[in-house]
Amino acid sequence: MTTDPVEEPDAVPRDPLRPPDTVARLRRMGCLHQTRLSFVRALTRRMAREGWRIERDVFDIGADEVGHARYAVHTPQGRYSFVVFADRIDPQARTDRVIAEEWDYTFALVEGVPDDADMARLRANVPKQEAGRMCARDLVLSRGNKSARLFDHVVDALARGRQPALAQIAKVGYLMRTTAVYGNGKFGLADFDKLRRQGAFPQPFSAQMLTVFLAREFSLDLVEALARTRDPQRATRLLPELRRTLGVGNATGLGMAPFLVSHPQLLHRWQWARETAIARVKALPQAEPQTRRRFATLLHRACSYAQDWCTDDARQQRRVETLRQELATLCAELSPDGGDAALPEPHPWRRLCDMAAERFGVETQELLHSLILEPYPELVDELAEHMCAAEDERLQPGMRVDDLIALLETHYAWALAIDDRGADAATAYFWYRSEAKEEPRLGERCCESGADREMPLGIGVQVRRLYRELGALDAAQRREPVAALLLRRPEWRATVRRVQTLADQPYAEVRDNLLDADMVPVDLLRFKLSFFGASKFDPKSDRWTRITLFQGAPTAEDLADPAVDPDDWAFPVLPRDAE
Amino acid sequence: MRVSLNELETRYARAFEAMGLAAGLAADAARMAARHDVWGLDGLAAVTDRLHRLDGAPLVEPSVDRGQAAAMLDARGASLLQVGAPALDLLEIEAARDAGGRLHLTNCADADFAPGLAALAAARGLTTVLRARVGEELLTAAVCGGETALYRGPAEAGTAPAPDALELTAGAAVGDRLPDADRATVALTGNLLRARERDAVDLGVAVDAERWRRIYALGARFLVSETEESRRRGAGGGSDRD
Repeated sequence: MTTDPVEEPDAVPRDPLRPPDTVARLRRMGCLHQTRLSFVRALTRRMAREGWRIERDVFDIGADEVGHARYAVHTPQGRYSFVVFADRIDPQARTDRVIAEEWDYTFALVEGVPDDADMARLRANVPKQEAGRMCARDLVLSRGNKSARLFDHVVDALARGRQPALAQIAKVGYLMRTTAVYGNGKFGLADFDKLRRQGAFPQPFSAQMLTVFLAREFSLDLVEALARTRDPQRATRLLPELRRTLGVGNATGLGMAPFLVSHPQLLHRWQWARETAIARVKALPQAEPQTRRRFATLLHRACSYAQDWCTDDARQQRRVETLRQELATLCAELSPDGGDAALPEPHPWRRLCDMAAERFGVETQELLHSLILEPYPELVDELAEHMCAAEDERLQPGMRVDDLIALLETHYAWALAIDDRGADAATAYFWYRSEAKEEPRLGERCCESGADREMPLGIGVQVRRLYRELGALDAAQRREPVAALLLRRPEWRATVRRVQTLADQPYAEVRDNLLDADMVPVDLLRFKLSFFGASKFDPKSDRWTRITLFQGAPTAEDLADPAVDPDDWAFPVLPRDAE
Repeated sequence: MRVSLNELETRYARAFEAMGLAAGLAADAARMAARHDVWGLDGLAAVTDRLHRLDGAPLVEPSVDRGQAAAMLDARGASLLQVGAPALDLLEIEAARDAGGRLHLTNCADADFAPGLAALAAARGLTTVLRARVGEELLTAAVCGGETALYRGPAEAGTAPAPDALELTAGAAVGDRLPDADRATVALTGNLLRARERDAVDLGVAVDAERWRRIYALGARFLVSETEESRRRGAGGGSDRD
């Protein structure tokens, strides 16, 4: 097993990185939380640091809740516009599923200021979402539905001059829920290459995260506008702390899973950055008093966050309950009176993490990893700039087949351990795309049709089969270059190229069999969503989940307020005294 | 209509796979065809005009013969879209020799996709010259430092490859295969091709809508029919109402 798998030296002292056989396992990936490196955090920091200004240019939505709005985003790199179309839809058509055809709100983030022709084009296409055509000046396409549980309650309360009930806000956490956020060239949108080379969004998913931020801003403005329309005399605005508390919901399905398998180099960079950050903090010989104080504050906040976190999913709820107990234990041991955390010395963070690994569950371990990064922006934040990857895969045709075998044995031992011969459980599932909006889905091989059109996401099983076939070659064939093998067996080309490319990127593969009967796909979703910066994971099945983004984050107005810390919103807690 | 580069490569790859290419080869063929569209060479028309032949074509195993002066790869009638990338694999091995290397690719259909193959070579960082006979013309692609230049001119008997053949030269041996730019009737310089690549990223790539629909439809062969059961089981149950 590789103990320190990072290929590049780190100028900052750090502990050895955790091995990929520990980190890149589904069970752990499905327990990750937001960190300072998460995309929403990095974006918010940057917006505040660079003085981005967000202005409401147009807000033409009447009492019937139909119309459009446009927000201007001024950045040092240029101006962008967020365009929203609001429609009335049949409540029965309001669904979280990607296969929906109608939405309350549809949005696009576009370059510059759209003129009349642009607006007409956007009006004709954005509400159609996947069925429309966008252009390279359009960066992101998205849509959302209002929360039936909260939206009307908030409008009603504000129209009566009152603030909405905190209990209701705590239960839901958002006014609007997005159900897809498209970028990277989909439906004619700008390619990521364009964003990477020019403008304000060189980091993966930063344009998408800004779109979600603006959807939140729009939802907050909308409830206030509708309340004013309903009763101009009595209507009031949301208190600033409540505006901050409300995030944006999101419903995420299996579409995220193929992304992780088809972007392994990105997966490596993301995990490498997170693990490097953790290792840097663990290497610190001591923690200063102000840092202990900060950590204690965060720990108590995390306890409250865990108390607020509820889900109907039995598996996740059990984990949340364990998390609550273990965090309470930690609080009692480290900071019983809320004062500075009594951390062990020397190397307090390493010892804290070691202790957590021995005593606590994975959910608590990974939450602690998120927490220990918070007090150290100087060690962590620059790593967010290294979460991109040049994603070209490179075949090495001259590599001898026996060297390829050795490479598999060294770097894919996890895959070679899969027993797929006569073991139905190892290939129980197959991934496929439905003809309904090409939605990725999971089928059971035993009893569902479509396995003949399987998506190649079972990397572990593919590698295992390649290894078995190579093992059956005679000595002369093993001395041949890979190019000769691939002339005879072109079906292995993708797998060989992947294996050769990723050999020095140890966090690139999910080190579990994604076809196995015991695989829980929602773990993949949670992993990716944690890097986005999601909170309050609320699985609705083993294949899709609701989450909240930007809960507790500064609003657009806050970004210009020097009194508001734009980066102090990890594990947001409901303001208990605002009602 | 305009499509993004991502769409172009993704949809081509799915279409080639649907036509019968292995996934790895389909990805290479997609990059070749897409680069033609990016460079203004209308890869989409070239692909769709040949669908009757490409779609479901039997997969043949090219045969290799390592000669004294050059390696020979007999494509046995397969398209360059299928055998181009494996030919580059062999060329890359040949190029590692001190004197450079040369590979003759024979019995190969669709030699006019040589520019796309040059794009693959550029992405691999190869220094290479590809020469292909297309009708009465010689198509030459010179690749160095990740950049490509294309030349088209009259094919001279005795020096140009035979019809349905390509000559691939790499490494130190490229010197005597560099094109005579003065004799070219069409020259697309590295600067021009780079500018077209930038335009493709900034503006998208213009494609014929009807032809694009055909590519899209090929990829749809991998889609699985929608049923209530697949909707419920395949994507997960649970309430999707808020």
